[in-house]
Amino acid sequence: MAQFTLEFDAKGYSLLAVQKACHRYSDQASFEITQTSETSPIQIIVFLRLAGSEETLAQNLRIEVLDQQMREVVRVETAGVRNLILAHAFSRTGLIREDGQPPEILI
Amino acid sequence: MSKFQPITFYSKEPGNVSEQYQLLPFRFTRFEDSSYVATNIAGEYTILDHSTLQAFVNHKLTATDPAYITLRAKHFLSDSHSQMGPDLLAIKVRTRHERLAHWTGLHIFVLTLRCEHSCPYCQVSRQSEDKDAFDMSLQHAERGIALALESPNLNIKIEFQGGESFLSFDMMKFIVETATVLNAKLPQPKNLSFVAATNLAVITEEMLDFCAAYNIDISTSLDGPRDLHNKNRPRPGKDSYERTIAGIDLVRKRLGRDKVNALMTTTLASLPLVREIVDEYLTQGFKGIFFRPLSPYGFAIKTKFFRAYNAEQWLKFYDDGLDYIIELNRYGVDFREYYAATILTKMLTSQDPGYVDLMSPAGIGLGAVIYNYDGAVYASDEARMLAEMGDMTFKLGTVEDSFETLFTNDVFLMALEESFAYSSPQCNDCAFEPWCGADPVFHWGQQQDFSGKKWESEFCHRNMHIFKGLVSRMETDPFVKNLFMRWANGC
Amino acid sequence: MLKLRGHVSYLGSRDQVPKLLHITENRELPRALRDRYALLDRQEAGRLVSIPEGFGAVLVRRTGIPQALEEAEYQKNEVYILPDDYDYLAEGDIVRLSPRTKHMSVVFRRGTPNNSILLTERCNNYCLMCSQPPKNNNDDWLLDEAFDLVRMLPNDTENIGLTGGEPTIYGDGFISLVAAVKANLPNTSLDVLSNGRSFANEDFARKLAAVDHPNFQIGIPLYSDDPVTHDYVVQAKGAYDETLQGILNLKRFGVRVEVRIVIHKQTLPRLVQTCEFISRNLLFVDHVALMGLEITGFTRANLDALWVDPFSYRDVLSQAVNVLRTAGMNVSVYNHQLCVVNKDVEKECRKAISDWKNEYLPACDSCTEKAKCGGFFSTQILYKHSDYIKPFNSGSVVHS
Repeated sequence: MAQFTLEFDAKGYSLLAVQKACHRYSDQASFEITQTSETSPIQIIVFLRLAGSEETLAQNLRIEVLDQQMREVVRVETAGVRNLILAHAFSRTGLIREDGQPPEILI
Repeated sequence: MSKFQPITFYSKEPGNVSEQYQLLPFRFTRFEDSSYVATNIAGEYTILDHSTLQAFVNHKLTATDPAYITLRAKHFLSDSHSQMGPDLLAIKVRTRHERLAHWTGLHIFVLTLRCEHSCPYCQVSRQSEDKDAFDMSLQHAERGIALALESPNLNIKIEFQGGESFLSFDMMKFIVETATVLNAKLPQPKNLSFVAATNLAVITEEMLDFCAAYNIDISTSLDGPRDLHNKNRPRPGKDSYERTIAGIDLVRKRLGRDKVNALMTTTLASLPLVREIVDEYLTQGFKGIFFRPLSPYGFAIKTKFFRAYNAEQWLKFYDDGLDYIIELNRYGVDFREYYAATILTKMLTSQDPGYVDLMSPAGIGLGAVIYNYDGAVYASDEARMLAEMGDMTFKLGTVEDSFETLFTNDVFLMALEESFAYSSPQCNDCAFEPWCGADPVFHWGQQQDFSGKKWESEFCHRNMHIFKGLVSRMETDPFVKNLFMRWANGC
Repeated sequence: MLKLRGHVSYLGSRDQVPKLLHITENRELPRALRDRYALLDRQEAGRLVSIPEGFGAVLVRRTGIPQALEEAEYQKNEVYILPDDYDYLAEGDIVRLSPRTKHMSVVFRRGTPNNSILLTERCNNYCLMCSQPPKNNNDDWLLDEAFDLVRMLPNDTENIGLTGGEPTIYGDGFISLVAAVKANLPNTSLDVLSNGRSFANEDFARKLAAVDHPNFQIGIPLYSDDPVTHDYVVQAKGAYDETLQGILNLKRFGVRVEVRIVIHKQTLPRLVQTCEFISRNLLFVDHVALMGLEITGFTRANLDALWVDPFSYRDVLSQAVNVLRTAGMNVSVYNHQLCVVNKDVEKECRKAISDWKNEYLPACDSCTEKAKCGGFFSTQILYKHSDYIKPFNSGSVVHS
């Protein structure tokens, strides 16, 4: 099976971002992700399902890892206000109670 | 006058500190080339190119950038000039989900499995003659009516399906009359409405009189021009099309111009004929069409109709059809595509169109519920079809069960929870999630997984293609943007 | 344009505080009532032979002063001499007469549906195009007088407006006035113009809602979806958030709210986006009004920064209206002449200019749509209007 390797610098990319990016392309390849220590580069071995798609997949993976990295930044920064918005949105609707608990089910 | 401050006075921070901003929750998905569709938590979208997105996320976007002003106005960021974002977003999110608390509004009664058509793609395994074995009993009907009226929703729609629902006209009459009487006795009567799905081949004057008396809407099948329709939908006499058209005409004359709507099913034979199909709908005086793909259930699987064409082929059919319809509108013809219109409502407003197949939490059970001829209760039409293929996963119980028992069925709740798109892997990252839905029955049927691996899911692939296509058309053509705004608001 | 207030000659001698008086032409009015009335005497030059006694004031036309009467008669009867500008005064109108300052204000006219009570000239905004430039003097007496006026208005008054400045500056006093209007004029609809910022205080919004006036609407301007632009137009930092919060609070408590946008050079660039913002975030407001510029007050001082010919932005206006209309909102266009807007917004154009400052150009005489058209502000006629005014000919107009 065709395969190739990609490396991502641990200073700029998190393991989670790399994993998520790979997960997204599971239909096109399977992956082996290794990182020997927290500061060493993250290595992916990509086992292609379809021969000849190496260049496109590599490009897509690089973009996707960057995107996942950005998503993580957004997720971390907005977690608090997101919970606030959702709590506010569903207060007094009968779908959650004031203290955030699910509604009582009256059977 | 020196009394007035220039605009720069209002855009600067006190002490002239450079602009700082806080991100508000948003998601982004790759769109075209190096651009992205980004949506805020309420599902409002904006297009960002890659460099702008990166600058934005890294807090490097400057306040004078036009993108910044748009992002602030659309609640993707908060800064010292306005903190109203979270409150307004909460209101929009709340509005979008308000319908949830109303619970199930659509109650489908499968009156019979008997049908004189033999459509190869039929999702119902039709039977021809045995009334007793395949018709709904009085007892089951009574229980079904009681359950329907127990739903907290103020608007209850009872839909009759089959087989051919009018082959069981006596039962239909019983249910309509009984439901109407019982509803009037409720302390808070519902807005009760009825619709009958029928091929119109067996309709009589008496049936029409009854429909007129009780304001029953008619939903029929029209696959396209005569040859295509008859090829798709065989019956003894090979005259399904003729009967359908005659039936539509009769219904309009007797009940009113807008009391009948038509649905189509796309088969391999349909694929090259999208314009002809649209033209047929125009000729028959319909105001729009709903492009539906073929569901992988029932006879469709047996007769290999489902795999007859793939997602790509259907998407091409869809795009050609939608573009043709847009052109018609450009020439002043008011005709719309209803699947697009449904999605556009979710994209461009905070309304919930209540379309069962595009709801998250899933529309199964919450949006619609099925009372089968044999008294079984299913969470959706597809759930029933899955059951006929031997898989009982989405059977909620029977009409003898209580309302609470049915709707607290463990598997049902688990399916709702696991398929909830907002927290599903992949979906939770997707910019299109607010416009999309969860389809646990489909994914269970295909992948044995309520949530499904989205990259293998035709549901996901199809919807993403359509979302991007709608955005792309709006962004490139102001006429289409206006047209889509009208569709989104149902006007 | 009608002159509603100004200098008058006073022939009395008493050092009186200003008072509100009903206008009457009835010389035979029962004595017991006369001190609440001002007798309007329309007789021509030299015809005035006697002055009935006991009226709160007597108003005569400039040429109506006879030589025959004694000086003492004038002084005893509080006689005012009015310039011709006030020939429109009629039975049932109400005026404020100030002997000390020799000033008259017509505060209510019976024959028109557009009566507004000015509550203050103070305001915490300072809009670039303000038609009532704020003054910082304590004018609480206007609120006091408003209570009096409300009790003098006839029961069948169709509508009354409360304006300023910013009427809510009085806090609970404003609420009490609304309650007084409800109590004294139960059949009269009430319109309030406000910047809405006081209602960012939830309690204040709740109090207003609690009055439960049966036919009430508050008009609140929002000039942009962009906070910086809005704050700039109203010249107040933080106004955008307070205004929005105010609107939300009022709607939460069930008060009818109209959002107003004045269209000019500063609000035009984001007009469509602003309407999109309103349709997504303020879908529940009861009405949206898109308004043309009145060329008075600060508008004249800032004309260069504000003026743009409506004919040139007619397509943007159409788009903006379309956004709101498609979203199912109630929308109106005020202060735009029919010949400078596209046909697709004609349905939304209203005749909204108060009669006393509503005029037409001579060119309009031959216009077939004149009756439907709202016409101009008098100040537009005087100072600035579209260069593209053209009469309709049987329903169509051709701009060359």
